[in-house]
Amino acid sequence: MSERHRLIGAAALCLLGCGSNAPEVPPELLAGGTSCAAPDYPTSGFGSEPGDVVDNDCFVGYRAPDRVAPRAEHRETIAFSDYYDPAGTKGVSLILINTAAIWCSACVAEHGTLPDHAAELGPRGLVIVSALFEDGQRNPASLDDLSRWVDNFHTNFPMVIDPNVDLQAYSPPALAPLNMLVDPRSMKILRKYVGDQGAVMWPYIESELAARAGLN
Amino acid sequence: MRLLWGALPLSAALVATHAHALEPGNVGGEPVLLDVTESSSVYYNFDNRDSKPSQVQTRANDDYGLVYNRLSVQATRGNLSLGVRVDNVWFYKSPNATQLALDLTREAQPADPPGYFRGKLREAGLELSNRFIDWVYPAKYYLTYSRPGLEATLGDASAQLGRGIVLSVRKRDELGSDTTIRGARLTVSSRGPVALKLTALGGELNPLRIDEASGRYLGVPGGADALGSLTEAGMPRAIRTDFAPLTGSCQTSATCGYAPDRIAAGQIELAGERWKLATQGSALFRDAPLSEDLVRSAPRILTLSQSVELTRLVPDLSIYGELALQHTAARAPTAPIDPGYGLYASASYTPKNIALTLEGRHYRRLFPLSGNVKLARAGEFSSLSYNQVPTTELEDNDTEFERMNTCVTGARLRGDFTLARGTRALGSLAHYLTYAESGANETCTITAEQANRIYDASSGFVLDSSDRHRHLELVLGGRLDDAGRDLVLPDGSRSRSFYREAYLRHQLELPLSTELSVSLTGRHRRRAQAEGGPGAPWSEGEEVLGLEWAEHSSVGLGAEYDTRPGVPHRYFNIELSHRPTPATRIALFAGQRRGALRCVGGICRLYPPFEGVRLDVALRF
Repeated sequence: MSERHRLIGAAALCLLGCGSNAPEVPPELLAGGTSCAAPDYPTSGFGSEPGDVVDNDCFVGYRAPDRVAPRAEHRETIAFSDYYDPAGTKGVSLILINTAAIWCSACVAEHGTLPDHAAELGPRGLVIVSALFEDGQRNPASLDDLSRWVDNFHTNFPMVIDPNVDLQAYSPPALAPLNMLVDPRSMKILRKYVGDQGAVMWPYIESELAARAGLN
Repeated sequence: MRLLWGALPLSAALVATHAHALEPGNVGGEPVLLDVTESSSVYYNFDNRDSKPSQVQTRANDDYGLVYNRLSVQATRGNLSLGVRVDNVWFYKSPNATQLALDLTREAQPADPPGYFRGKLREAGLELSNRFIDWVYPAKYYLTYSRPGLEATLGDASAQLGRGIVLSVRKRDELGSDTTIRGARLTVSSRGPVALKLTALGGELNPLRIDEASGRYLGVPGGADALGSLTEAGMPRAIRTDFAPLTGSCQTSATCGYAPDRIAAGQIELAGERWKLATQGSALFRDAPLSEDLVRSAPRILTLSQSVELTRLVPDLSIYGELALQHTAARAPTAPIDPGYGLYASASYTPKNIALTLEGRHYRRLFPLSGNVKLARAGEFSSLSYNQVPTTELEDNDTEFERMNTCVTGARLRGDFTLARGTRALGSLAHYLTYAESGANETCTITAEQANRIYDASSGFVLDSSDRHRHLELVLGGRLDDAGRDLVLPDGSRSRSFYREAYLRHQLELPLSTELSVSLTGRHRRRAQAEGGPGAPWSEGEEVLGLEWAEHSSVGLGAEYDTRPGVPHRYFNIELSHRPTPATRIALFAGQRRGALRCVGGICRLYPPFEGVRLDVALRF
């Protein structure tokens, strides 16, 4: 169990025991759980602000939808730990975690150009992971929604669904898209961009990639 | 100053009449007049029916209650005025993070309940870390010296320079905002054939820190410099919670939602009998950015403008023009942005029985001076802005999407024609070309693909009885907004139709007796939004049936509807208002109100639906 899990468990137990009006948490919810297992992933420093380590969330989706058709047989579980690259051996220089929803006009507009950025900057080590979380009626996104989205925008980077809205820990869904840059060496959040902020985000990504290329 | 003060607002609301003890007195032989205003709002929010599976934020806005109290006192002695407004909020019922996580877990039936519960507990804990916290703080205070030709203020002051492009900080009730500059303001003026007026002001921007609609507060960092320590004394702070540690940096502390911006501004105005020339400028300085967008991450924004106003240039014609330049300093040298500029002009022609107004705008990279707010943690304050760039549209227009007003050219012509006594015809026609609506375009790159062409028209009439007691107004209108490129629709099809709307507004007022009158006010809209919409056209609107008795009591019965899939379709409410004395108002709202984007002059805020009860009591002594 990671430090984060212990802390949250302790907080829940405290709430359980300390507050007279605190709801009772069933013991089975305080057990270990079976969330994404990644033995090498950082175990401390988790949080949602710049400088914090991102949780190792995992999702179902398509890792390379431009190379294999987005069909049921090609679905796989994709975790942030897949791109954790502490030694630089995977060739990952920067991770861009993106959220999208079908109702979100800024997300739709942003995904019109994301594949071009991925094609240009992917060879320099940028990995984009995008999570579709809601449909046009703000219901949880389905894998069918994801397949249509990937087809519509010719997505060429890992794209998943986030029906549990796990990424709301970093920014409210109502303010989508979220673009969060993560350092693959430490999985620490470098910057968070709320909304489509391409004018400032892409120059920063370019400069980070250049700086990291210089370090390698 | 948290928690312990929780009991203050309710007691203030209930025993505010004790303030009658405040009587005018004398200081140094001069009378001192006291003006006391006590305003309290008591809310209870039921389930507002906007909850979505697994979403914490839409669940956290159910079943909570608060008392929001504003106590304003102003003492005036001769040329001196001393005023203070103290706000406090007490949440007598608020959600519990563990209960939210348990409820979401029970409903979702996840494959990994412990993992899901832990995630939702963390999200709920973060969500509540800067929400539903009791505070009492000095919202506004000032000392003003005023005599003909001179006005000096220390403390909080409102300001608007020109038409608001350079600076506009003031109260906007529709958005629940009241921003001032906490610092110093000096205005010196002279009279004569050519009057001179000089205005200089500077200080820290001071928005209201608590959002009544959501219960969110704006926490500021501790450890500010001397000016910050002075201006932020007693204001709500970032706090440490079980889920949100304080790191010593506002950027990395989740409950730190606002880093106060600083501004220096001034205006030189020369005015004759029929003309006015003014030069105004503002310099906005920021701390480390809390949101990484172009404007909020800029360490410095300079805005200058020159305005000219000619009244009765020729009989019945008045003209106003303002040319503005804006330099937005880039945070990183790798992302410089060209200076922006804008031209706003209006002409008003008012011969007998006709009123024609033509307003035009041509803006390139002309940005709102957005406050340094952490959007990811305090999105309710996203509309906080220190200027107001004119849109030329209806004051409550809510169909300028994304950043349309930052890169736009167009004009609107309005006409009001008196056809006969009590009979008027109304009409308007507008055309705009924007390059920042259907996609982000902060650099304001002008290409056919980035363009959106907008046509907006309305037509209607007004009938008034000769005694003006009977009134009927009816306006029909529409808006066509086409993109310059194919847009991808949710079903994968393509379209260039970006937005469509047809609407009807009406207002009917009829006297039933000498003391009693009835009114029916409504707005009905048929809307279609291709990119980012619900996928199909929808209708929404409202009707309010009002009864007013002797101008001191009223009843409003409201019905609203919204046919978008995924939201409740019907909403009903009742509002009672009574003024037992001219200085006292009691209002009670009970029922439902749909969520909507509310805009005032281009500044917009998305309000969630409301279901509950709100009691407002305002007393003035």
